[in-house]
Amino acid sequence: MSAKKDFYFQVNKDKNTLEFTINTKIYSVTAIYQTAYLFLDKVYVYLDGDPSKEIEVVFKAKEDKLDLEKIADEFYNELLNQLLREKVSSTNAKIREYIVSQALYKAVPNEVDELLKEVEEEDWQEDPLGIAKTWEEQNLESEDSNIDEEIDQEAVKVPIKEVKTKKKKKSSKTKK
Amino acid sequence: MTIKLNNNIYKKDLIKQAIKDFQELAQIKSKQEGDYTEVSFEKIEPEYQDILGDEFGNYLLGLHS
Repeated sequence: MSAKKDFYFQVNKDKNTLEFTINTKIYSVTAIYQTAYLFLDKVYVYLDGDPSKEIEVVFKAKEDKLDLEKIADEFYNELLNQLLREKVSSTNAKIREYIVSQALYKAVPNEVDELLKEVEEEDWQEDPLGIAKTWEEQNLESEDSNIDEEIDQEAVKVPIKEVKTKKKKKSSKTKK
Repeated sequence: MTIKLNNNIYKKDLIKQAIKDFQELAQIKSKQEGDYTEVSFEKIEPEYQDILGDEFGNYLLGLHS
């Protein structure tokens, strides 16, 4: 009888099952979960044991002719693969987060940059709002424009004599 | 049909979710026994009679991944 090792398989031909244990000091529980997930299409997987020490794995074949020992060997290989992926992922976590944040930052338009671009494109000498003009310049301009309008228009010129006669008539009416 | 699930490996909230997802296929009950959740299946749909417990276990494992 062989000594019990991490890769010792116990086969039950009547139930078509295979059992083995995994040392969780070597293989993480997360890696075991991930690996088990990949074999769900071939076998039914049951897990038991103490996650701080070792996990007991039971494979139950979905088909009668399935080579469970071969699948268990493949399981261990995949377990190594998942463990490596987990370690690489944890090592590169900060770099990955930085790259993703940079990508998102560039995808979203920067409002400050857009405003600066608009300002640069404007011709400041045009002064459309008249900000650069002094009060006098603005008001003198407006008065000059009014005078010009009066000169341009045809004014109704009332003779001086007519104005005086109208005033006298008004004053005589009020005395009575 | 009854299966025992180790609470140190299978999370209770995910067990509840799996029970909810499978409730159309059978009458499913669960109870706590120490560190284990015992899940029993009754009135199973005939076509799933032999495999429901096993499929439930695999589905539950998929929820953990």
